[in-house]
Amino acid sequence: MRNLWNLIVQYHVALVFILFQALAISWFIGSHGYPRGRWVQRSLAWQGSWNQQLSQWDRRSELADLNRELLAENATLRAELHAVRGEAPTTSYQAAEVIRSTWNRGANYLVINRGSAEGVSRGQGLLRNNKAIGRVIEASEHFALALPLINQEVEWSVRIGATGPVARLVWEGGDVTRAVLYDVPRSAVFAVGDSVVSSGFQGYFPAGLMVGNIAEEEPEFDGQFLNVPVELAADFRSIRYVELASVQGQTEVQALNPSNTGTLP
Amino acid sequence: MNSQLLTYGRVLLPLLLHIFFFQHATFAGGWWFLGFHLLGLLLIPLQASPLFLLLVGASFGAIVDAATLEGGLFMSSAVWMALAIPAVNRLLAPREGYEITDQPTIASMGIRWFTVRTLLLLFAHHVWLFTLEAGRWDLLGQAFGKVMASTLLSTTAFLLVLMLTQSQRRKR
Repeated sequence: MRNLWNLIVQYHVALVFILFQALAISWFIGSHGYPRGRWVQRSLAWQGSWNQQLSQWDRRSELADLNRELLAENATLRAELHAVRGEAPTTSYQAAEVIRSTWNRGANYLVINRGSAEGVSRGQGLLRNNKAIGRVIEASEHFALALPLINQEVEWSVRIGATGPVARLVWEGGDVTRAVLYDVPRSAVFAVGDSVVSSGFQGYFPAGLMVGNIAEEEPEFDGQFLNVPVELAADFRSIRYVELASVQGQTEVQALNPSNTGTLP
Repeated sequence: MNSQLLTYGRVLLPLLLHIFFFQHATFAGGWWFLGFHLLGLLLIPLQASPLFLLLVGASFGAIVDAATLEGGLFMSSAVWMALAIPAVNRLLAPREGYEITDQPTIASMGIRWFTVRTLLLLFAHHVWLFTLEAGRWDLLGQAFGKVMASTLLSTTAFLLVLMLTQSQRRKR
C-alpha cells in the first residue's frame, strides 16, 4: 500500500495529466459534432444571450430590422405559396437570425435566436432563400444549435435533379463551397451544373430544396458507385438570416431512422 | 499584494478577452487561430508547480470549450501545453537558473527568451489542437498549415501585446 502511495506521489503529474486528458477526450468524443445534454443547453443559453448582445451592438442600421421583417414575411408567403400550389402543404416556415456561426472548422455549427419557447425543436431544417443550410440538433428556451451542411460529422440525403438517383452528401472539410456526393450509381445520367436537391427522406427539409450543383471536377470511381463533387448553393461564410422548416410528420420520419445520429438509414 | 493582483490579472484577463471577444473573430480566412487565453497560461509565474499548471490549463481549456461549444478540444490542448511548460522552462533556463523574482514576460526575461518560449509552447499546443480537430489523415496537411500560421502570427501578436502593455524594466 505504501509502495502504491509512493508511486502515486512520484508520478502525480503524469497521472493528473492522463486524468485530465481522459476527461477532455471523452468530452470531445461524446459531444463533438453532435452535442447534446444539459450542459450544452446551459452553455447555449448563456452563449446565446451574449451573442445576441454582440449581434445587437453590431446592428447599427435599420436595414437589419427591415431584413428580419422581410424574412418573416418571406416565410409566411412561402408557406402560403406551397399551400396554393399544393406542392408541400405539410411544411411551415419560421424566420430566425443567426447570431453565431463558424465555417473554418471541421465541426462547424450555427446558433440561432429561436428556441423551444418559439416552437423550435430538434430535427428542423434551416434554409435561406430556398437553399438548404442545415438542421437543428439542440434547442434551449430561446436559442437553438444547428449543424450546417459544412460539418464533417453529418451526412445529408439528396437527389440529383427532380427525378435522379438519391445519394449521400458529405462535406469533407477545407473548401466551404464544395461537398461530395457518395453512392451515386455508375449508371446515373447527369451533367455538370445539374441541380442537387434535398430528397426529403430524412424529414429535415421538404423534398426539392436546392442544395447545390454538380461541379466541374471529374467524378471518382468507387466500385459500383461514383463520388461526385458538388458546388454548394449557399454561402456559409455570410449567413445572417435563415428560415426554419417544420415538415409535418418530421418527428415520425426521424423516429423511423434506425441510427438517427446524423447518418442515413 | 499589488504584484500578486497584477499576476492574477495578467493570467485571467486574456482568458476573459478570449471568451468575450476573440473567440468571435476569424483571422486570415480561418488559417489563424488566435487563442488569447493561451497568453494567460504563458504568463503563469515560473515558480508555479507542474500540478498547478495542469489545473489552470485544464480549467482554462474547459471554460473556453464551454463558451465555444467545442467539447473538450481546448481542454485537451491546454492540458498538453501546461504539461510542456516546465520542460520548456528548463530548456530555456539561464545557466544560473531562474531567480525568485523572474517573471515569464519580456520585461523580465527579454524578448528573445519570450519569443522562443512562446513559439515552442504555441507550436506544441497548436499541433495537438489542429490534429485532434482534423481527425483524418487527409486533413493533416491543412492542419499543419494552420499550426504554422497560427503559431507564427499568435507569437507576433503576443509580443506586440506585451511590448505595448509592459514597461521594459530589465533584460537578461
